[in-house]
Amino acid sequence: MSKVRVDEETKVLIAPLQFLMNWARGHSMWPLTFGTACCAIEMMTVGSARYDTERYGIFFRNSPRQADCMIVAGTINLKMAPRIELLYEQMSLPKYVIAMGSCAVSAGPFADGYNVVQGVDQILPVDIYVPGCPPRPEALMNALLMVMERNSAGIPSAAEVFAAEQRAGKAAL
Amino acid sequence: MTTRSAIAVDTRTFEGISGVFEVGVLGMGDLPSAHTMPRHLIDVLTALKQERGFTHLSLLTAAERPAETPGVKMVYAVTRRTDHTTLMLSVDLPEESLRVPTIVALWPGALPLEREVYDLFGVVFEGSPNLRRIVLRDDFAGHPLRKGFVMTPGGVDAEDLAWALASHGDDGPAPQPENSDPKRTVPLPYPSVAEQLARPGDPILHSQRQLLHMGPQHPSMHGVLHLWLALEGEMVLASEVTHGYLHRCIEKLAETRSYRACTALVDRADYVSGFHTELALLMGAEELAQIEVPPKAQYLRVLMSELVRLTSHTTWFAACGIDVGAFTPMLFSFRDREAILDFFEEITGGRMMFNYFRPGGVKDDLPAGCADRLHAYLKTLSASIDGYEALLTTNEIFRNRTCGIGVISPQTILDFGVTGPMARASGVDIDLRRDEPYAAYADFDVHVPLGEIGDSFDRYAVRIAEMRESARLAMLALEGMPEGDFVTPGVPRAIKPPAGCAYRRVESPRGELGVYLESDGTAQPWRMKIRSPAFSNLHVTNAVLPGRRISDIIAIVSSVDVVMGEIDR
Repeated sequence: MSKVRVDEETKVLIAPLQFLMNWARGHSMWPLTFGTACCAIEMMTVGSARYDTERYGIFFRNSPRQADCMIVAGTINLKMAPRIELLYEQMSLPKYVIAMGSCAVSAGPFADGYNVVQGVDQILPVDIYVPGCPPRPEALMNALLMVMERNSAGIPSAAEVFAAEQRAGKAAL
Repeated sequence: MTTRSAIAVDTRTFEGISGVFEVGVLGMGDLPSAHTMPRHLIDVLTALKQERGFTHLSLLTAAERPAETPGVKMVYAVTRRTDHTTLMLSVDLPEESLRVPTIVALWPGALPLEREVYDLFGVVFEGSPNLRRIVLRDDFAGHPLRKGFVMTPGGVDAEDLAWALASHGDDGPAPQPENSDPKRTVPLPYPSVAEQLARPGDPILHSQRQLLHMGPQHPSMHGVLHLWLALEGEMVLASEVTHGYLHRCIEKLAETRSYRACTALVDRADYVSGFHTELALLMGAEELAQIEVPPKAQYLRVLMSELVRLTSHTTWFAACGIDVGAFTPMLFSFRDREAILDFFEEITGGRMMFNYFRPGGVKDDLPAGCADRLHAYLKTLSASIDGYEALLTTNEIFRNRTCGIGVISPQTILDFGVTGPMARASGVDIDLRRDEPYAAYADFDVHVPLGEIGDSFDRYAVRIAEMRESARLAMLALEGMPEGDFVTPGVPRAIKPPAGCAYRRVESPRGELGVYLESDGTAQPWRMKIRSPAFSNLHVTNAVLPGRRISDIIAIVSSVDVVMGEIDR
């Protein structure tokens, strides 16, 4: 924080560019409206009047190219898996993934099914897990605020960590 | 409920139809049932439809036969709307010849249902114009609902996932009838996407035809719905619904769980109105196991069904506004939804996944004081709904987007097995709450709102009227709540119904929701099939969209009220 100062003469705030970018991103998290199942209804609820995430700068976007954060709200099956990978690749860095609900965390009640992926972390690097079936809207809001805090603090996202590990030849999903 | 003497009358409906045998002895409880052979199937169904007036195809599914006679049993249920009689018809298919003629020529809406049976059981429908997988990937190996298909504990492993990620797993909209003789193939009941794309564009405009994928990630696709559209400019020439992106093996998993545990699974099938699927499942289980339900529980079931219809319709109202570009309606309708969800949380413990209905009744009584607060709240709901109407009903943009758009004729409704508000918007006067009263609905006078021309606006207006009606019925249920037990004492946790079948239906917010149950005498169902109303309602869009423009697609699909969890299961 010490690098941030106000120039006395011109009254201009002077800060490192990275700090300012993180600060701005941390206050305007745009999640992708990616709901597959029941959790998507609770995700809608988060955007509605009672919870009103827009007061935190959380504004749902319909295009992955405009989104910073993917909330995987629901079960992922073998038919959906290649599509979710495609959507993720269309998002630009820095990007975050929230696994919302038991299904996205670990396939939930459908874990023994013949068609259900055992959690979205089998496909994508996940930042925050939100347990629940479905989680309460407050839990999802908490996860979004955690992502924003991490962003403000400049903590690298799971996607960046994974990319770095991949470059070093260490990681394979 | 049909009495025993009525069964004797009903089974006579089969008289004079050749190829029908074993009338009324299939263990179908109080539904008249019969058995036929694959070669007689078309004749029997044609006679039932054209001579006896059984015009509505309610159920088309299959079940595994017992191990001593390997094979698959096809099950059909047809309904006569004039006196609300339902007949069950079954066809046994031996393992060496899993083939049966298609009934698409009789009911075009049977096409997706047959595709589902082909997908999950491997039954080949001879003459089907489009016999391909519908919920699973095109390259999936095996037919999972066969008993021979054993699920590995722990589910899909890394190897399967790597295979799934390597390709998209669908072959596009090209029609590929498997093992069918082109001469005997029934024509597709709506324009074919592949055929339309193969034709040249308009020579004067020098336009080209193109294939557009809408979904499975699309802000207006209500979940993971995918449409293949053949377009020329902005005109839709043909469309084909693709789904299966939310197939979660609910029907197979149900075969490994007790009836009580199944309610938790089916809650997640139709996730915006869980009570209805729970109710249909338990009505079937209670019929099989001969469990009585006390009157208070029946009233609580009616109350919960109507409240959840309100939450479902408010969710639809939010989506309906957003789809045509109005965000504000969502803020209003979710306010009421949240208020009802708070009551659900107080009564059942959950906001969306209730698991509240139990064999023989419900989990718990209403908490102290809850009934009065709920009643007071429901009184205010009418004013809220007036507010909704002020936002959309007289809104010029909304009316321009929906009036006269997506008109569905009563004949199309019947052909495709469309039910619920969509059918009522087209003037088809059906409502299971009034026609075949279940739970305590016989004590209520259910008013059924009807539309006139069956466009998107009528579907909107019917649902708005249904919200008012639901609030009224919920208040009546609270006022007339009898005293007594909320559950039959002594019902064991794991019920073991004797061997038999049951098919029970309820009126869900999307229409006729049925659960077909087969028991083999153990604590787990042998087969559990959910007759999904949204499934049939959705597939009618293949016939409605051609000839419309791209912007109308959203206005039409949003008026279907799609819930993918229930469609894919």
